[in-house]
Amino acid sequence: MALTINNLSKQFAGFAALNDISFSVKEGEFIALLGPSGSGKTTLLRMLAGLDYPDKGTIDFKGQNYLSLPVKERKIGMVFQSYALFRHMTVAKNIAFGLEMRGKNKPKREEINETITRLLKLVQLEGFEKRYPAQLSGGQRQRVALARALAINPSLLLLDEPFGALDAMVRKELRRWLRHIHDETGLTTIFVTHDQEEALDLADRIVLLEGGKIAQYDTADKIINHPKSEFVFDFVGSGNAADADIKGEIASINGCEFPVVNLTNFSGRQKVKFRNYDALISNEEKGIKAQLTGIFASTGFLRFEAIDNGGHHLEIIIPERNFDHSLKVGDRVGILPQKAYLF
Amino acid sequence: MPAEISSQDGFIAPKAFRRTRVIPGFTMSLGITIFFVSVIVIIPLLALLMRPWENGFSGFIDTLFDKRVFAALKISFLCSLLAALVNLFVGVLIAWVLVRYDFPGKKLVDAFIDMPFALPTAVSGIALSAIYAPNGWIGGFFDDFGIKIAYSPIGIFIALVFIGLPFIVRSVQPVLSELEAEVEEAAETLGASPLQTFNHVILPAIMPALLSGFSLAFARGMGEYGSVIFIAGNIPYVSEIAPLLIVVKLEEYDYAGAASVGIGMLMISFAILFALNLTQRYFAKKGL
Amino acid sequence: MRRKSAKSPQNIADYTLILFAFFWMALIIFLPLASVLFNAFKGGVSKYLETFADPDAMDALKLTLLVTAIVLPLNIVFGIASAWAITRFEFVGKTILLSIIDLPFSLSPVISGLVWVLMFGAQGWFGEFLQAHDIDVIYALPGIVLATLLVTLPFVARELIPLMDDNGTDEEVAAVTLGASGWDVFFRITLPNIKWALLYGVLLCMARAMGEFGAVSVVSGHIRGLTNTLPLHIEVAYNEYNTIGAFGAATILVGLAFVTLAIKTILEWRYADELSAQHRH
Repeated sequence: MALTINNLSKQFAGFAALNDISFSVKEGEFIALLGPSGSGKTTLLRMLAGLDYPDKGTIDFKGQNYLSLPVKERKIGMVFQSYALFRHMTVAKNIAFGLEMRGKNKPKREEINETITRLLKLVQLEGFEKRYPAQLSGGQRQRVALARALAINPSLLLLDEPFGALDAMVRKELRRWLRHIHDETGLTTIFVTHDQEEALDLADRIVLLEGGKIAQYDTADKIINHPKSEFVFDFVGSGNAADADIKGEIASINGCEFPVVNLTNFSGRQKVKFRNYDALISNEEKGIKAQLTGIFASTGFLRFEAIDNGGHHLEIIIPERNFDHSLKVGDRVGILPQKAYLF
Repeated sequence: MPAEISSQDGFIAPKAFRRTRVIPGFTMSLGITIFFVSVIVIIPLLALLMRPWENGFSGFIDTLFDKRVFAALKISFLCSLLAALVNLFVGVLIAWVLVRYDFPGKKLVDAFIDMPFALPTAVSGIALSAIYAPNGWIGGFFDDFGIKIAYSPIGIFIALVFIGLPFIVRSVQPVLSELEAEVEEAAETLGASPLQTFNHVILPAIMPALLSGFSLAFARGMGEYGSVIFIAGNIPYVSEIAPLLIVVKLEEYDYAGAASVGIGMLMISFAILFALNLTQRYFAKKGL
Repeated sequence: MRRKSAKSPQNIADYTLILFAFFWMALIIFLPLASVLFNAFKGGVSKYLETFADPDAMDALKLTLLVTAIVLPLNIVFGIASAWAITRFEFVGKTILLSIIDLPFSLSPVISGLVWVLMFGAQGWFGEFLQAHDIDVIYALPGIVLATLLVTLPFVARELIPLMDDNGTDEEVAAVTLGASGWDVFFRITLPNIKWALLYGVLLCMARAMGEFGAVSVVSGHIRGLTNTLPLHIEVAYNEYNTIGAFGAATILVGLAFVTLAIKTILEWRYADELSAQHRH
């Protein structure tokens, strides 16, 4: 294990920002710290960087007690949410800064120039050496910030909401590119995000935080398909709730039977949750009886809104090619879950 | 900072662990700051606050209500108030002209607004005095009608109008230029006359800035010395300002009396500042 | 400014307003300036130049420059230290500290002089002690320096605090993660970002230090050739009906005021982004 975090806790004015956090990261892994605002993800990242300190707990990085090291000795590459580029320095000077700060161990001029050229090529900004941050677009600034962080040859790369300030198009593009850079450098990388899609798409493993506690630490697949709590289920996608009769691994609603994934030994009537894409719509009187209140077209699929007899709203999405074109708003339908979760 | 460093799990709290501040220099910068502030501001002001009570509280009251001191405080108060009021109107007008119109010489006028800040008060003092003295350019004209400007409260008032102008202009100007022209245009399309627009749209928006500019100009006027003493003539009971009385008392080695006058001036200034602050809060509550 | 709302004057009302502004500026600002020049040159150029041959005037100028040279570096140190402490850290009593730093702005200059007499004057707190050890503070250079320091204390800090608040700490924290030491952070990251605001504050501080009258007047004792600063020399000359001498010396300070305003205006036009928001108009 490259990084081991044990029992990390931190109180802010009486409220627990982090509550007994423990997890470990393998060398070269790409980890996302995911959670809603206030979940403690940024506090955790800042502790790794040495910008914040816990009240309790340990951070161990390759056998070193990280908490005993001040920021400058941790050799961390940090990319700030605002990028924090030095506005009065050119791109080249920004990237060289960390190397210039080494005092006696400062590399030779040619070495520094070589590093600048190499990194600008890596982040695809060749020819931008003499530009100032104010002359760059948001995406370009982000890449300079990354190059600057990589210049000190860090042992750990930390990114705080790396795509937070960018528009949707640039975001997607940079996301792929960041993954590419990670694979190329093999750096252990940890990034903070509140966007579950980003985390699921990019990271090897995701630390999903809720109110300062780890809700789940798993791969994207596990988090999507085997959520450990209702919070995890709700945070990573939309879902619906319904009451079902449960017997062993099978649940049934009004003649519609479907498996319960994270089965317990529970038996009886209980609320289950199912994904909006894990259901079918039929015009038979089966499953959850509901009335369609809206049909919305999107690229490749259709979204249905319905309301059940108890007044609860339901949302189902179905690929367009499977759509039964006879359905219309106002119809009474039966909604048939295909798979559900019990928490 | 954590109140207690736990040593569980064999964890030994290192020095760096206790230093939760990332940016260096806290102790040094705060140390220098507190040293300067204490030596230059706090201790000397304590010396002022503790001095008047030498002859008991009644000594303090007697000094303030001594006829000459009371007259000086009254003159300072009234002239400052009046000058600040005049500047209120003229200052808004000039700020308005500078923000809303383009005309040749605008940048020059804008730069010269700060002249009373930049010009040493002794220079403004002798210059104003030379103009308004009975043999001066303007003073001579009024002297023919038997009106004395210099060596009378009118002279004090004029010096305070000079000194107070930039306070109002510089408070109002940025607020006016931030005010979107569209708001005014919206008022116009809703049928408001220019005067109504000013009263109902512009005035409320600049009110907080106006009040703070007014209080600054007033406080400056209460304490102003250099630009006033030359033109005032310093005739006791007529054109003697409060700050001058401090100098007079000091010359008589009446330290307690000088400190009493000083505290009297501060009390008037702070009372006005406090009253205006309350007014400002009232406006702030209304979301202005 | 979101939108340029200034327009050319169009009707009588517009012109009246502008003309009134010009009239008022002429009356209140330009006329006194003209009067200084007029009175200084009343006896011709040669008489004017004689003021600069007056040893009292030259001693006064030298003392003024000396006081400014002592006060300025101290104010720069205080301004930077206080802005650093206030904008870079959270601590108890910050709001109070801020109001104390602002306090000298609302003090009468005479009070700013008085407090030093109450401390170090013959009957002041430390009066006896100083007399016993033959140390002069009041009616001497230290008193003048202290009074000037009190009057000018907020100038540099007031320029730096809002700007450094605006700039935030991200760049400095980033520099620390890249291995920069405290002084590196200050000289390579912070200082380049605040240099124009610092110059602006220094300029205002210098102008005030050289022109301060009330506070210095109280502590100086008006000893000719020894404790008269330039503004005090002007007072003495004026009271002795040496009009040309008074206004001649005043032209030096008027020149200083012009230079101050010119540099200030240039800074506001050219480096608006690098000054605190209050000067961006």
